[in-house]
Amino acid sequence: MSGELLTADDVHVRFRTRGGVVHAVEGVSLAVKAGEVLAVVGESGSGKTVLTRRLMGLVAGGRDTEVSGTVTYDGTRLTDLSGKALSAFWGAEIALILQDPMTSLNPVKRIGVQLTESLLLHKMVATKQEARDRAVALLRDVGLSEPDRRVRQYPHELSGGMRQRVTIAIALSCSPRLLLADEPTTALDVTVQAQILDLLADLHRSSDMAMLLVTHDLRVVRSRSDRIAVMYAGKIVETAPTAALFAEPRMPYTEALMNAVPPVSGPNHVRLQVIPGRPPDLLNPPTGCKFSPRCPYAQDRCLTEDPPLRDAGSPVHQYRCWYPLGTPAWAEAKARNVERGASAAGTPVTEEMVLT
Amino acid sequence: MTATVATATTDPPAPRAPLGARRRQLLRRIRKRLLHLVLVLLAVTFLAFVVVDLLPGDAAVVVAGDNATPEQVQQVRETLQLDRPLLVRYVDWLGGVATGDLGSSFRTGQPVAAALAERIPVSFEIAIIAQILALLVAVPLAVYSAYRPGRLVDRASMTIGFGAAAMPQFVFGMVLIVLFAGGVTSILPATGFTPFVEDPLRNLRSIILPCLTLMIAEAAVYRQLLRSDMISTLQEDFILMARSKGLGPRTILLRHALRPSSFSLITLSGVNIGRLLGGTVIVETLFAIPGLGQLIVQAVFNRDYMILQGALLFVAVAYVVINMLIDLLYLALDPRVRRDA
Amino acid sequence: MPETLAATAAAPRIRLTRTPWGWWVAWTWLGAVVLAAVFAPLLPLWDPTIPDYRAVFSGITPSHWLGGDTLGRDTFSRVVYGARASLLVGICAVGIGAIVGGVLGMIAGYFGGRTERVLAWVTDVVLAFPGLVLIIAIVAILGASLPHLIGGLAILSVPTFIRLTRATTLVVAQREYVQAARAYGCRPLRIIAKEITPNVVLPVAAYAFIMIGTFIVVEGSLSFLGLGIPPPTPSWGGMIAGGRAELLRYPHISLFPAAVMFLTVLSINYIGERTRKQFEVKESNL
Repeated sequence: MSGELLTADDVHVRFRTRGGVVHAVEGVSLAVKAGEVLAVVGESGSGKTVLTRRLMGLVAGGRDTEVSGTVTYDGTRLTDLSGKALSAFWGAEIALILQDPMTSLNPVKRIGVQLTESLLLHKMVATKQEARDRAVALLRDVGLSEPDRRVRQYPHELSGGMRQRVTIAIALSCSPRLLLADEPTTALDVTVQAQILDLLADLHRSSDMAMLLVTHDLRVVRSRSDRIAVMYAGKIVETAPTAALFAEPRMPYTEALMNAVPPVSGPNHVRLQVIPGRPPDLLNPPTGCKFSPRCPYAQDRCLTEDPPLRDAGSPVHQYRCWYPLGTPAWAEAKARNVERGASAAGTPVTEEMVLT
Repeated sequence: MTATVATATTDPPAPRAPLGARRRQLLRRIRKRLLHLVLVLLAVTFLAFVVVDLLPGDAAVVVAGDNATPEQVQQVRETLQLDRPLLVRYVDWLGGVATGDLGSSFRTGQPVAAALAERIPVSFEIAIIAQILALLVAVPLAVYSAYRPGRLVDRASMTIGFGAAAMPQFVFGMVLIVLFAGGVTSILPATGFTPFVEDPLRNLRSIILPCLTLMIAEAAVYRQLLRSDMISTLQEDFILMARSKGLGPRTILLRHALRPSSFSLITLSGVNIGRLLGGTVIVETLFAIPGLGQLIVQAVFNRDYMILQGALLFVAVAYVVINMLIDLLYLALDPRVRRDA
Repeated sequence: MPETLAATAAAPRIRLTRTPWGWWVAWTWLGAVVLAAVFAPLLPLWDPTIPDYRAVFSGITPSHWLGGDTLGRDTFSRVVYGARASLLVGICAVGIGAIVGGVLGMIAGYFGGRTERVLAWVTDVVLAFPGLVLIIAIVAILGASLPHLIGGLAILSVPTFIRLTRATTLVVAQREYVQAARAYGCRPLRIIAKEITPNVVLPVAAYAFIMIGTFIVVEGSLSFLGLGIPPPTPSWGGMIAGGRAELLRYPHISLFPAAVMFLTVLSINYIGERTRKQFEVKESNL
């Protein structure tokens, strides 16, 4: 396919720990087209952060880390490159924003220095003076007041929202073509969250930069992404254009994620559904479908056989489920579970829980 | 872009007190530390002072020495004014100390202050050079060990360091003497000291072995400390952020990770300089170096209690003051402390 | 693929829990030193104080396993008897220091307020003197003898034990069961004895163990300076110092006892360090 900036093919990441092997990412394939926003959504522990870092190459194979699969950026196989060759892409072509702005800035270096060092490194500017001027301009672009003063300040002198603006300025300083934003608003106050997301959307609109937006909150990406990939237990369990996903979710986990979030508008007495159980233990993932222990529709087959990624009508909408929502098989499964009061995995199921 | 500029103003204000309030806070902290310092100094000087009073039996007889004539004992008694109340004498003595008068040795008649002034530079030279050597060895090893933990450099330096930490100074010093000053391999003097002003080259030769003896265990401790601080710093998000900018390992280790990791190392090495100023006792005895430590040991053997008193006073006060200075140095090094103060 | 991965994953787990051979070597060495020290009078050894003039400066011989010293006294026998002095000083001083410092530390940590401030001040004052200089001063004033040495070293160790127990007590005192005991109206001393002490004992013991090694070195240093246990009682430091005059010609006179001291301190440090790490792992597993 043309226009694809970044493609990942069958990416695996496994960590060897004291307790055993953690299957963090299990065969993820995805593509980000130039200029588009792809959202990766999942609970904490679903492997989305590790995936992001693997896509960039920040997580590499080592003594305790095992990686496989390929990542290709604009025709270059990133997964074949050495650390040194990779770092030529970092910052210049692919940039990263982390979750917590309190910890992602070096506490003992001035903001200006942290901004100018990547400008100077990637030869975006010729002189230190020019770098300084660019830094001030960048801070103004991300909406920081008094940028002249900010460059001389230390991170602890700024609020969380201001710091995240600084990390965004750093990420954008060399005009990357791909921005990986790993939960850029999770650690911020609710009011600031929207501002940062709007800022990212604005910046995205004013450049041709593609963005991979990682979040656990479906609400956040509904109006701010072109496509969504839902991750669970290290796998992509459903992927679709944003509108299609919200209109016709196929995977019960996607539905559960939608229900776990109170609707922004509408009656406020809607019962907020909580996904039963806990995210899967990646040390000992369940057999069969990884979501089956928590799924209200789970049948015997779900406990033993892992469903493959299947097309829902078109290849742009794919999902992993034996009993996809809205099909007769699903209706049957649902009726059976309500009747016996439990899923095949033994999770209690009531009529109320499956009201969708 | 205009829209985003507008939203900026609704960001909650930074948790930053106005400059005046911050300075006041800082001053309050310094004042509190100074008060504590004064209290500790009073107690420390008092302890040094009562050394003479704690002597068993008639202090004047003991201070004057075994072979003293009754006249000499009487003279000591008058000089020390042992019949006056302790506190009065302490205040008197403290007044003398403030003007640099620490009394005179009853053995040699030499003023205590002069004896100290002669010895302090020697100990100081050795202590400082040993510190610098220890840091020069420890910092690169620690940085590399943290960068590649569990690899050869890390394991080898850890094993050697573990052995060094279990090796008493006087044993290590003797091993060095046997290796470098004995037999065919005799390339350095085993004992003795040449002042720097007399002959700089011989001065350096004479302090190589003492400094090596002093630095080895310290280098081991420093490496361990910096390595573990460095490893936890390298797991911070801001290091990941630095990597994602495309910065190379050298820049990240030296420019981003080293400074935030070095605070405990700086404290410890500062404390050690303070300690070493009076504490090179073993090394100075072993290598026959006329420093403060040797002076203390000689004073003990000669029962020269005035010298002992003066030396104790200097050692403890230097230690307390240096610790205080390190505390203040923190404020300059870590911008976070300036706020948390 | 998953099967092979699981197999490779099992390997490090075994390696992590396996006790390294160094652990057993260290314990064996320590055990041998302690047993030899305790049963020294029963062992078939030369008298450590009587010279054998044929053995002056001698190297290893069938009758003198580690040779003789400058006076011809049997080095092996003196090393064994020297262990008694070193261990006695180390264990007694640390024991006293740990008990006194532990109690004061718990009081400071539990009651806080003025008690704590006064103790902090006292601690700072004692720590203002470099340890070796302080103990030299004490010995200089009171005279060199075994009880003075033990007492002086105990005083030296009290401040560190106060700090350690105080910090631990502060943490424990916040736990629910201590708060509950307080709410039931238990008397403070009873809470300290019943609830806090059991939590403080382990870290203090681990630290005390390493401290014994440190004090063996300090005792050796004092003996080396001639301020330790007075001769003719053999001590490791004294023996090392005794060989100094002939160091360049007969280094073994000093280096044999030095090696024994080194190995003993090394064993203590190794065991102490490993035990501390073990604790850390358990805490993180909780």
